[in-house]
Amino acid sequence: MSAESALPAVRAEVDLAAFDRNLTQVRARVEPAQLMFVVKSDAYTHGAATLVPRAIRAGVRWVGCLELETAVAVRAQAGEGARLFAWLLAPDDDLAAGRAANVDLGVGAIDVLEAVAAAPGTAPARVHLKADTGLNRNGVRREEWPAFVERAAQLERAGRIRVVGILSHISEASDADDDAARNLFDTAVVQARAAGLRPQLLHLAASAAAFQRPEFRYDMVRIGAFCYGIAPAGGPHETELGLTPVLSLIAPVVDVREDGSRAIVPVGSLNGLPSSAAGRVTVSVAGMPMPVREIRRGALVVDCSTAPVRVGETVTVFGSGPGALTATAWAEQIDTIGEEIVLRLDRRIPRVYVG
Amino acid sequence: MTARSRVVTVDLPGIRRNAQRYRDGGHPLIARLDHDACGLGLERVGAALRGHADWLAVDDLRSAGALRSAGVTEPILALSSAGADAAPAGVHIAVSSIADARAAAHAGAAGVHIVVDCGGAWRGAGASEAALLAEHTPIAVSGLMGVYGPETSPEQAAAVFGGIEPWIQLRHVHGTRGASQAGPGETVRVGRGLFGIPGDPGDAEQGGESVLRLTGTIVLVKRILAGEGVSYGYIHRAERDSRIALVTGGYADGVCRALGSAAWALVAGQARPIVGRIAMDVLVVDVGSAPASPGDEVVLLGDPDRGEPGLAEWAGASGLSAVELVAGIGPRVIREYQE
Repeated sequence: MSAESALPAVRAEVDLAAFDRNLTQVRARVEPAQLMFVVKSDAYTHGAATLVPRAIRAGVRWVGCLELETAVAVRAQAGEGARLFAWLLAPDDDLAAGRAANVDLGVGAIDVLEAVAAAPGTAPARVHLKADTGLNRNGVRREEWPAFVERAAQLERAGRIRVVGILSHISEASDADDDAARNLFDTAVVQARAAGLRPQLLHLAASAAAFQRPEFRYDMVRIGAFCYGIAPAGGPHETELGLTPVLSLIAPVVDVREDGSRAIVPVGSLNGLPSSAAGRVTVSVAGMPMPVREIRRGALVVDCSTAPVRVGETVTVFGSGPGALTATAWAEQIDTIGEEIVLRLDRRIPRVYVG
Repeated sequence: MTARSRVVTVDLPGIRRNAQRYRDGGHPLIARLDHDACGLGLERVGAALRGHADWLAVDDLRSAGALRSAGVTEPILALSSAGADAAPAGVHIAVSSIADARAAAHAGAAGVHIVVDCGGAWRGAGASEAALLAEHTPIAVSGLMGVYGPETSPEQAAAVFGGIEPWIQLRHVHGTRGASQAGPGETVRVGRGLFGIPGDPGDAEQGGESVLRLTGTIVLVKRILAGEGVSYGYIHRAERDSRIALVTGGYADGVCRALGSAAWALVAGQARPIVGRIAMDVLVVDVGSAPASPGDEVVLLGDPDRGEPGLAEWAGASGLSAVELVAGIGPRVIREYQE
């Protein structure tokens, strides 16, 4: 029994030194391709306001923002010199604001292309055309691509847009599927050039392919997960990749119950920890891995029957540090990916920056 | 995408009707609004319940202050004394120990509710500790709060609770799951029952009328040919030529990955399958011949009684509880309120 207010608070520690090291590792690995650091969803919940300026100071030039509203906000964090990229656009977005904030626009549909070209703005809008190479999400299908790039070339000649890049997005279903996608991408680039476009930046790969398959890097790679130290589920571990998880969920033991066999940690499923992981994961209590028996709405019930635990001891629920599972290790136990474990984490838990 | 491309609409009159059901049954109501009212918005939901609940329960003193700022005048039970140094007027604090009670007295709380573990709870004093606490607390005891774990039945919990400090008048042990077993005039402490969130299959009480609706927006519509894959890992391949819509709403928004190729959406009134992996920001719906254009709203989660996908289905497909699915609706999703 204890007064919770006297204990250290539940917090998400964001290790900036680990982030710096991850950036260095990622950039060294993908050179000479450039890194686009992806910061959608508030830098995967790590806090874009802190990480974006940090990355810019480390020499990162491109920041991937997903949506225009995010890009406009990130402009203030990144400064005028950075190149910002938004690629989930709709015709009724405030494209004029995007042009005013000098955002590079990823365009994967003809109606968006027309809206971008028509949006008020003096300088031509910088556009990256998105081909669908099999993922069947955003992007223009291959049979519609020649007409799409023809129209883009017309709009470029009219001074409304400048096509600076071509991108696509791969499935990572298998190497063979990805090779097929890459062939389609190369064809799309050839067709764009035949239409008179001169894209300088070709980009296809995200974290995993950028690391494992050099031929997928082209001029730039779009990387979120690895910058945050989130390894692929079922793939090589963080250490093999030379990465460290940046975010660790830390909480105190607030109670020890059932004759000392159960430690209570006040963070639970309503804070985003998936209840389906109960019985499958461990947490680190003062450096010792201990099984999580239950994930209640407001607390973890941890089996501490093998070693005595005291109220006030520090628990790493996931992240880095001795005895702690990574977010990816949690994810693997419930057939998902580390990103989902991190992204579900309650935004009301304060992010505390260390390192 | 515009900010309104992902919206959860909260039906405040529906929450009031759910609250009224308990009061109509003769039960004074403590409305549980912890965890930001399950992510639906503490201040707005709290203000909507003015005059419709006897008490409001919140996480801590900071949340209690937010409710007071929102104009709530009902007594408030803070489940911990964290979050602020001083308790606003009329705020009571739940305590499990003498140390908790001292902290509550120090914060200037109006009183304390002693928390007792009635079986398998992760917090609360045992029966003998509760008696000691009641005797030695430096602050007025204003209530007794029983808690119990999922393996303990409401009947078992009630039996334990009934024997503890019977002189304390305001007593509450049952939440949504046990409310139907509460005796005449007995106070209930209800959270998910206010929000229409179903419990586990087999629970007697299934959570009231649905009050939330989660929508995404179509980004683009295009054709897909038989045999083509969709999204990461190509876990879906089209059986026949069709049309697909890319829709805002991904696992960052609480549409969990486990729902990929396992749930459906309502597109122009038609139930259409979500196909392929859910991505962080988007999902894909096979819209077939349903009318669908960029900018159209798609219902991802709503009221099964109106033909919308329901929380029980999401829970079944994801292995998560309905209440954590609601709490997991992400911060990018705009909260809108039907007054």
